[in-house]
Amino acid sequence: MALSIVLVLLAFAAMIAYEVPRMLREKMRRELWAFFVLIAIGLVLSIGQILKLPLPNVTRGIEAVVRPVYKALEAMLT
Amino acid sequence: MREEGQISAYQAMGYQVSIVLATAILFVPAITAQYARQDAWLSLVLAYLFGSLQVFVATKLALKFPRETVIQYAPRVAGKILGKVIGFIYIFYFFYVAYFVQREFEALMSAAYLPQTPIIVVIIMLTLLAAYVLYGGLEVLCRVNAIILAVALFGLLLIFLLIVKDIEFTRFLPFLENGVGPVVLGAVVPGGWFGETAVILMLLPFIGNQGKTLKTSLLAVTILFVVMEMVVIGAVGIMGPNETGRFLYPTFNIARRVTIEALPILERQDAMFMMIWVAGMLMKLSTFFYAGTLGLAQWLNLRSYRILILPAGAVMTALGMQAWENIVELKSFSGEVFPLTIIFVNFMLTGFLYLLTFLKPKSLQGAS
Repeated sequence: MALSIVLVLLAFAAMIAYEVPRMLREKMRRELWAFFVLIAIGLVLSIGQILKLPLPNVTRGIEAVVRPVYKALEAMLT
Repeated sequence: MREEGQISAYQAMGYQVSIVLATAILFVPAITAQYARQDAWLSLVLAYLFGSLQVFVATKLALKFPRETVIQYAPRVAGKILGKVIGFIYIFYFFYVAYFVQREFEALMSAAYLPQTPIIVVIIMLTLLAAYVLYGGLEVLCRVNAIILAVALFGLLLIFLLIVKDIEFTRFLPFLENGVGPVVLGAVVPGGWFGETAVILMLLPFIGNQGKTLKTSLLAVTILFVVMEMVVIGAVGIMGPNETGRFLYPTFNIARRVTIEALPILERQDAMFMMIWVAGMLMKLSTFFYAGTLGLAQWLNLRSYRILILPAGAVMTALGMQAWENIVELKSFSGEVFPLTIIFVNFMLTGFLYLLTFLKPKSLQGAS
């Protein structure tokens, strides 16, 4: 688990090292904001999964809405 | 937004074919055969009509705004807040399909070839390759895609020609055994998949010869229809509807069954099928990943989408890892939940925007 967390942090650090210096040089403030918001979402989602925290799951949410619609359609057509 | 270069209408057609092809040939035959059984080929005809309607509406809408993507004009058409929400739904849809594709790729790779490898490794490899394609930009993506697509279509045709002698036409009887209901239900899944060609909404501003777009978009759906019919007729005609519905990957199984006594070197074409399929999956992931990243950059009014490639890829991968526990959940999701969600975006949301352009003709101003 500790190893997974270290690897995830390294991956995100590599992304920051690759993209951020150029953005700082060209003073792309809006882009920097967007970049770090996405990095934060990615970090929370991946570290959360490694630690098995109860994160909100968008896919399950979609599934809960759509599956009953499909079941109704299925019952109608078969 | 920086100039993203220019592509031709036929390159856009290749993009539209690739955005559907790779997962459709693998997952759709089993799901369609489960419901429509021996009439699966007829379900595909219905799906073709529905898919053509979807891409027709999408292209008509896109052509009204020849210099912008749907993310850029939605706020003018639907009002500022609703338009931004609609734009976000499109962007989420692109990433949603992209992480679904990542998991589908991992599902076959770990089932058939890499059972001991952690699934995240398989996914990251494909995603990094796709990110590399995205750094190249749209022109590069389209050119790579043209090569891969030509090889893939030729390879699929070859596999079909090698198995065509084993097809027994009695397996397609009795015709309409259980009425039309199951046939319509079997059409929902391929119909949704064909609708993914509505990605033209994101591509149109980069097309040079836009006059041909409607024709090439409909041609894209037609190519997909012909390929899918080959796969479904091959699978049902050789294995029968029961077996086709039971296998997770009937296409993979028919490629494995190629037997030619005179030329044993051509037997068991699953290696060739995998070669085509892995390359196809890379293109499928790249097309959705590109549309999503470009859309997100435009939604946020950024100067370039390239800085978003890596972090968006990371979020996408994390969402995909979180979404499904195993392949059984994934298959059930792809049959019962996935098609309706993509039909909602590609057909209902696009149709809604198209109708609004008639109610608000003023929104067209500033488009030309």
